[in-house]
Amino acid sequence: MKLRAENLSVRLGQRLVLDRVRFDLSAGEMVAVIGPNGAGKSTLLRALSGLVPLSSGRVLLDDRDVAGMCKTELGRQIAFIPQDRAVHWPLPVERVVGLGRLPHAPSTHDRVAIAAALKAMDLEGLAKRRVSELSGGELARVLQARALAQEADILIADEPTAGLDMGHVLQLLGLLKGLVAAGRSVIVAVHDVSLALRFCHRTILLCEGKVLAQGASDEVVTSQHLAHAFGVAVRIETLDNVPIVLATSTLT
Amino acid sequence: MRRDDDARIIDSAGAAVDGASSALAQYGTVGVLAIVTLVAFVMSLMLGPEGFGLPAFKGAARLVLIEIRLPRALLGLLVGGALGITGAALQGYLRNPLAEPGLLGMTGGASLGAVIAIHTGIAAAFSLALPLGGLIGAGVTTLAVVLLAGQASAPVTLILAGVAMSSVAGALTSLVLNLAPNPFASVEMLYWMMGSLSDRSLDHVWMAAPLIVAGAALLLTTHRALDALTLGETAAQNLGVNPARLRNTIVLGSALAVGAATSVTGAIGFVGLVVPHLLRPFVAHEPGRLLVPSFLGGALLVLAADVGLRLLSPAGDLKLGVVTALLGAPFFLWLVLASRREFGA
Repeated sequence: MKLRAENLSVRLGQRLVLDRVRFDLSAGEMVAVIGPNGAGKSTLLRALSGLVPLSSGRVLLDDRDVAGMCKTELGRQIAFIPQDRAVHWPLPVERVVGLGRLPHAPSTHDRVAIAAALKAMDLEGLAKRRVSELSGGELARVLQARALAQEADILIADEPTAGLDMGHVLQLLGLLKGLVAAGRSVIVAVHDVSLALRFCHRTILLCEGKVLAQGASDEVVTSQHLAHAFGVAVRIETLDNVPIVLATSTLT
Repeated sequence: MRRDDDARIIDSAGAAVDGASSALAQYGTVGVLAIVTLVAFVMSLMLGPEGFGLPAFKGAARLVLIEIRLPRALLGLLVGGALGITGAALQGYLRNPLAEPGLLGMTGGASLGAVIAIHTGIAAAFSLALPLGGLIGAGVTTLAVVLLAGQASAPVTLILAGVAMSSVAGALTSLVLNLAPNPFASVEMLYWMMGSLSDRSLDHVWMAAPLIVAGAALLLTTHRALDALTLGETAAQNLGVNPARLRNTIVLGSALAVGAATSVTGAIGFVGLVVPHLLRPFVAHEPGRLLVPSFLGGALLVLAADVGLRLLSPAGDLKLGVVTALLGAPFFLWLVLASRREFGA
């Protein structure tokens, strides 16, 4: 399944939040979206998921315009994990994860998908617990499990690693890598740019609503690009084959 | 997890019931409620001035049963059900446990329409003129709320529009009361606004029933969308919810159910607020699964309150809306105490 954004512009009120963004995603690819606060990362992810009206351009899912697609059908193709982690009623964990099955017609497969999602996110022990009794990180995993239960070909996640402990960050990204290896595609917005370098095939660097650079992660996550986008001096090192990106000082 | 303070208060109240209810939670709730509601319905039919008795099916007794007690029981069932299911749907849609059926302005609009019908004397022209006035009032208010809120409105804008139109309707109702041609008209208006099931005929039932059933059916179609909204609007859209369609269904369903209910019985408060609260722990807090139990629970509460007030005040001095308010107020006291326990204050 291919996702393509053509000249995507989004205006929120008077502000142009995304300015003519072009982007392609192929099956089996994991792409990171990075950029400073307010760069338009969340808006790009929402636009790609068909969740915000575009002021120009279009998003194509296998050559079909997302804007014209039925919401339920879109929900079966693209699972979106918002940054906002609100759960408004204290439902049991397994029922929240089960909400991921809503775009699908009810079937016996639902239980299998929910059980698999709970297992993948290390939540089997918490299945009966009410979400109001969970920590922030546990809740994040529950909401990610909901998206996994959706069994969509494309997973789009906005800051999924925020609030997770380091063990669960690695576990989540390992899981996403596994999904990609199985032919699905993933787009993640991340604040920790070293994760983009380490786990993602490609990276898009956004700055003030425009694409500053996009391509192979090691070509985009460079000290020059990061200095330009974030206004910081950056050192990029490798330790035991793991890339480390360190902001050393602010540039004035 | 981000949630409103009022949601936390309700949680704490619900938590106490949760443990004991888990066994009953899944499928028993609807069955138990249906049986108890049926019992209350039959009790309402059996209750006369001389207390409970088996209703006779011939002569004058049959007439009393068909023309007086049956409309009363049927309206209790339908109006209570309408208030219960609308309260549950609005609480789910607005994700606010303090939402109640009057929030979108239909109750205020129906009251205004009814008092205008009394004021102008149209109410005396034919038996259904008063409820028709209420229906027109509810319809006009709903239209005004929808126009005021705009097409692409968020739930909060809808609440603001509803509150605004409720205020307008309330102010105009006061004006009509103020300008009442004589004290008898004022008393009639005030009594009507207190809500009652007495002196209603089968005509009232035929008028309200199709609208209430249609409204409740529309609200029932939103159950999956209400569940999805638990995760917020963005996630709900990703799960296939069309926000504009959901909003229109909720507004139309509520307007039909509550507009018709208020038009035939007057304003009956607290039912739509209290019933979903009490039943939420029995359905694991899932807003979609709360709809049917809330219809039954609302029907049960109104039927039971009506039977209770007929036992307490056989002369009919006590009004149903007053009884439900008297039952509802302690509920809030209980909420306050539950929240004090939760936060150790």
